[in-house]
Amino acid sequence: MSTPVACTDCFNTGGITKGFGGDSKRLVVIYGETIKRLKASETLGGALSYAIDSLIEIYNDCKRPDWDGYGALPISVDAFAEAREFLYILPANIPMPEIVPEPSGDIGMEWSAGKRRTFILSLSGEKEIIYAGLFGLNRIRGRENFSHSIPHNIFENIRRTYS
Amino acid sequence: MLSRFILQTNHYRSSNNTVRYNAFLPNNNGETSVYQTSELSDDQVWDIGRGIASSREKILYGRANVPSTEVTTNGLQLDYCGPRWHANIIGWPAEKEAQREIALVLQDVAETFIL
Repeated sequence: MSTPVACTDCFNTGGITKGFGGDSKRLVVIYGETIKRLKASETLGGALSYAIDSLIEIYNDCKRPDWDGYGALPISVDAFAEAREFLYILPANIPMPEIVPEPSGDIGMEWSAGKRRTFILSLSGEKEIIYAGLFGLNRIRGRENFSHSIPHNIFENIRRTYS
Repeated sequence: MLSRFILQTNHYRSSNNTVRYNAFLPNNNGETSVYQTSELSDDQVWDIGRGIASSREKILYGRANVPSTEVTTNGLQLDYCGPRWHANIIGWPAEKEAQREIALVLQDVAETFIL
């Protein structure tokens, strides 16, 4: 029997607790699926639907080698799936990003509020978030693990873009 | 001045006709193909762009100009090779996050011309 412990580094699960062991993991999965469906039903036709459509369109346009005329690698299925998951678990109070294909075969996401107010992240399907940002004179970059939840650091940087 | 020709609709924002960072990211060989266009007329630059698009069976949507100094001050180099005026931006850092940070800077200073 394991003891549930509150997850302090996840936004997507809201008030749910995380513990150890199979039941707890299963609960998190079920909860996540429920949130996805709830959010989809609430916002279908809105920002999430638009972002998912954009992701699908980009995947279809860029799934072949050299899609950009400069030797780009094809967008991978894994990158597509990870990007879709990221969009599904993005909280409703966070603006949806622009979806951007990258020549490395990754899916990029961009939040921009004008010159020197941009935050981007890349997903490759390898359970890792690569990110960079320009905030005035400040430049940031880094990487975070991505495993069914979005790290706080990513939220903070998205919010910083619009602050 | 360096010109990066835009052959993809998702390399610029149609909402305000500004180039996106992904237009500057290196290809799998670690190169970003550009042209040194400081000494060329506007017509000459567009002719080069149309030639590139045609040879790659792509549509020329526009170009983004960035100062050469912005490339070198970010630790990158210019390798002049291939056709006249052509260069590859090389010396990109291996870390993807560092590449994206520099691409964001180039996006930020770029002047975009959409046809």
